[in-house]
Amino acid sequence: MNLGFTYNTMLVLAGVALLGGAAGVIGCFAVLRRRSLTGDALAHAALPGLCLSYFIVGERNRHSLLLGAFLSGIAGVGAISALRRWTRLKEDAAIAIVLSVFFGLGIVLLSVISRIPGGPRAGLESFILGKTAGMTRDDLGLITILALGTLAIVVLFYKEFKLITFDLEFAGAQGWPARSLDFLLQMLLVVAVIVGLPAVGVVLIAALLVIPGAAARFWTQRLGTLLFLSALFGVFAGVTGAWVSANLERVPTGPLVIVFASLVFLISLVFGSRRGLLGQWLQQRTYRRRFEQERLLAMLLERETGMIWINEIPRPFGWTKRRFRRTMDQGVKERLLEYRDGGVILSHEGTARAALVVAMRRSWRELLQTHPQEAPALLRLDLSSADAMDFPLP
Amino acid sequence: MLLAQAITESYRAFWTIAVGATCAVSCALLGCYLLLRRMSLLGDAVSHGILPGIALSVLLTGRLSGPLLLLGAMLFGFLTAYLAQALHSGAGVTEDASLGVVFTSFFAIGVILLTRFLYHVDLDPQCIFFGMLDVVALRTTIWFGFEVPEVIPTQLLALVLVLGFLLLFWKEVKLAAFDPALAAAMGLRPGLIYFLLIALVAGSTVSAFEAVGSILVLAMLIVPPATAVLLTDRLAPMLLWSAGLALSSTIFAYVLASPAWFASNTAGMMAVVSGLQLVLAIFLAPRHGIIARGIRHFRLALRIAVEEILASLYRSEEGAPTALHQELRDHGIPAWISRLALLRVRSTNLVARSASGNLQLTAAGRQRAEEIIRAHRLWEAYLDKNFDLPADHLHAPASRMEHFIGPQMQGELARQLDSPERDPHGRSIPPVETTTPSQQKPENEYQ
Amino acid sequence: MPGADSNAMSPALLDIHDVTVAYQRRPVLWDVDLTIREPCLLGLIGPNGAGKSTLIKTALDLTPRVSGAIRYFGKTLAEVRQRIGYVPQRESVDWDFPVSVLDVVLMGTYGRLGWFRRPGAKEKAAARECLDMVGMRAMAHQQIGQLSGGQQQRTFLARALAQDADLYFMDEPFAGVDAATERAIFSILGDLRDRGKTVIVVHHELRSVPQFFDQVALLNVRLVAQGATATTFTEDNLLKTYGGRLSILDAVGQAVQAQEPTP
Repeated sequence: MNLGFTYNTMLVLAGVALLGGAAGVIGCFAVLRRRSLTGDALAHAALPGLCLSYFIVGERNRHSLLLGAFLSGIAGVGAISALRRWTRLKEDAAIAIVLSVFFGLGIVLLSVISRIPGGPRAGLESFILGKTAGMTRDDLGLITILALGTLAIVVLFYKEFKLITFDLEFAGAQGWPARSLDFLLQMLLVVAVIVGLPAVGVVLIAALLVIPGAAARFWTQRLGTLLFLSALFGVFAGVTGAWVSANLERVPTGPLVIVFASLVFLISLVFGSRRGLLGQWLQQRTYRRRFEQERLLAMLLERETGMIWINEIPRPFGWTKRRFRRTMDQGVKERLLEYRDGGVILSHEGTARAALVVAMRRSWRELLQTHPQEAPALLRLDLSSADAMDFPLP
Repeated sequence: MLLAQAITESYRAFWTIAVGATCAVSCALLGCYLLLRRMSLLGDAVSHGILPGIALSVLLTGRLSGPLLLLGAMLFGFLTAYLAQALHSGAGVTEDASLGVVFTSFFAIGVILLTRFLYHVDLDPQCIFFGMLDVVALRTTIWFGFEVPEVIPTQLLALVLVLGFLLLFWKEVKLAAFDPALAAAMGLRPGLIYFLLIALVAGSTVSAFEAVGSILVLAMLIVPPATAVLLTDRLAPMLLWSAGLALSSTIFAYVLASPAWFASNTAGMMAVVSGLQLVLAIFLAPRHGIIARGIRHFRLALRIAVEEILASLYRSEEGAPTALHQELRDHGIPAWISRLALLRVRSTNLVARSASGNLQLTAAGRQRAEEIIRAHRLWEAYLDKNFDLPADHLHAPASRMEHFIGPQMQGELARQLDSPERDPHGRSIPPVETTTPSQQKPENEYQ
Repeated sequence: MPGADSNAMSPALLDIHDVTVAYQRRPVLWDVDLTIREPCLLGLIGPNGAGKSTLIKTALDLTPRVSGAIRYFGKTLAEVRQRIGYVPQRESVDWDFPVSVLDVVLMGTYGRLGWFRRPGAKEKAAARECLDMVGMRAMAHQQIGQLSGGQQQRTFLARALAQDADLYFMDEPFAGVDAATERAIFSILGDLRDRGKTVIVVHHELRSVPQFFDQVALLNVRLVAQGATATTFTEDNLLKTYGGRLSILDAVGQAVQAQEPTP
């Protein structure tokens, strides 16, 4: 494997990394606004504009190609709103229609252009797959402008964007030009799509806009951190994807970047500290175990003999012998229970704790009856925090 | 020889159109369901997500057709939908983001498989993206003794399956159409129907993909149903319209894409033609179309203007000053319609020119005017009785409502108000003439 | 006539005159007149779909009007926006959004801050005070999705308090809230009124009206009655508001919507 860092590799690395970061941030807002797939639609809608500008200006002028794509993208956004406003079609249908019809138009134009002598041959392929190998300093420059511009705008308008993404109506009531701000966000999206298209291709720029933002949600519930993590994940995916692609043969960069982004997503999904699956499962398990222990303590307290045989299987609980045994062992380990004469009894500490548990359950039942709407908040109380609060015990 | 050439040409044309139309129609029928259930983007996701399945089966069989292709694609199509749903309900990811994450990842994997491993297979990746409709008639096989394009059996199968699904689950489909709230409340539930639907979408996508490639399938899934939904309010006609539009778009696209016209890719042209059909429908649709709505507004405005003219002539007969132009402006009627209304009124037998050259009501005109004035003043009386409105607030709403209160409603109002003779301003309310020909029906009681 | 015959000394706090709002040619609000001259706690009462939320929305220029004028303290909305507070319905928000309770309350101060400025220590202190007033200080850093219904409502209320307005609109602030929280919120609103603010509340439940509001406005597409609770919240008026005498109105309204006359 060639681990060399040629000038070209560095260029591509920097470009894709910056692109990943910028797309991550903008995409974060799009995901929060439930507009995850608008990026996909925009990317497809850019094709006719690209072809038309080629037709008019020729391949020499990369910037006018991008301009054409940009205008086409805006036309797409406009078409989606128009369809929603003037017809009874809904948002999802409007997006799907614009996506496919614009793209079809682009393909028709492309095939017409291909027949012109000197027209682009592999036009479609590079549009779909991206062509990072051909990235020039100019392209890098454009991506850098995008990245810095996005950063600047997001920092400047942070609180405004936060407000309109969360509660558009309240923003309007407070006097903010909510629609214009929303439009600004959408423009950022369009620009990100257009700049990213030549690099990673059509479907894949949509991926860069969705996946980092979605992955970051598993780690934090704060907007600032969310944006930062999305950018980070985007950069990471860009760098690793570009680097691996440079060292493998014939594997295009775009898809590889997405594969790494998905890996980050999977890892976040499982291990994410906020809503990761593993964390949820562990939390559930801890809660369940404590719940079982409390039941055991309460049962012991209420028993006349104050003792449970080790081999007993209490019927009302419906536990297996193993589960029962495990709970007992855990209780002994925590010094709430003691082994005695072939069974378990409450220790001194255990008796105090059991009394607290029983009293709490009674109070909870009463509270839930009088304040049913507060149930979710109440049920989050656990024994330790109840100790800390002054809980009204009967 | 020319004849042989002509025959080959038409043979080719026929089969190309047949292939295109079959898949277009099955997609269009299926797409009706997707559209009504607001699952259009699921079609987008599935049509992209099947790519790895296609790549894998091509790698294994070396061909871009056959049952393994169908199976592989359906498997991945189903996986796409299933994983997206799992992410949404299991991990709390928003619906659109779950789709986005899954199908783009799958698509990326598919692209990698294709570009990395497909170079030893005789296949042009571009076919996958925009299909090979133009050459599909060339690869044939023998089917029941006929020489047909290779892809036809799979496509007919897909069509039959779609029709079968629609017939079997007609009630469910209808529910989604007529009671979207209830259908939405049912939501994306895993269940037999949902499972079948996804499988069908994946299957149709695959068979269609052989014709138009994976990206344009979405056009065939959504655009004809979207057009159809603007043209009709009932389910069965919507399905028929979708199928018809799909068929016609294939034919037109074939013609337009031929060398004689635009010389381009047929599949892309199909998407464009469908789009044009949609645009035409937006303007021309009989009830919901923009032109139809415009005409309705125009006719309404004209009617209101004519009635206002008659009413103001009546009021000037009573001796009250009229402000005809103000009234018309208050109704939001543009000047040119007012002028048109004047012309129109003059052409009827409702008015005549008096000796001094002014307009005057004829007997017939007076009757018509009385109906309107009656509606106006009864409404004023109704408002006055039931709501605490100051006196100057009665005229404006009444002059809006008078154009929408027909004879029966007038009777009902009169009954509720105990047949008043005067309105709140003291003006007399013209009584109903029971002997006039305009009152043919006996006055019904409140029904 | 609007404004002309009002007290020449001081303009009305809120003057809604002749407001009509239509949605797809169907009147949702029709010739509504509402005037408030003194600070009060006013309950906006009426059946579902009667236009109560719409009235608030059009007063805030969130929904366009067909006709009518609205003036605050004698001025237009644009001139006095900072003095108007708003608590929208709870359903309008995505409670899964990554913001904390304190963040939401701080949003109330954004209007004062203007463009680009961030909330600083002063705003944060004010926000915490508002949280204190609604008893949510301890939950300041919780993400809003973890709150119960009553707590969400109180967060919204705190946000409105942070706006430090002179006139408040509140849309069903008591929907799905338990009795104790309801009482707590009402005592805050009463406080506001005593401090000279005006609070207009869309309320969905009739039983508690006499207890909490000193003024009521009964609305069902039209304003049926407005005035002191004792004299206006009568059975007669309630019958007019909720009763079925409006079937004619319904039929005519439908005719207008269909653009065809009734039979």
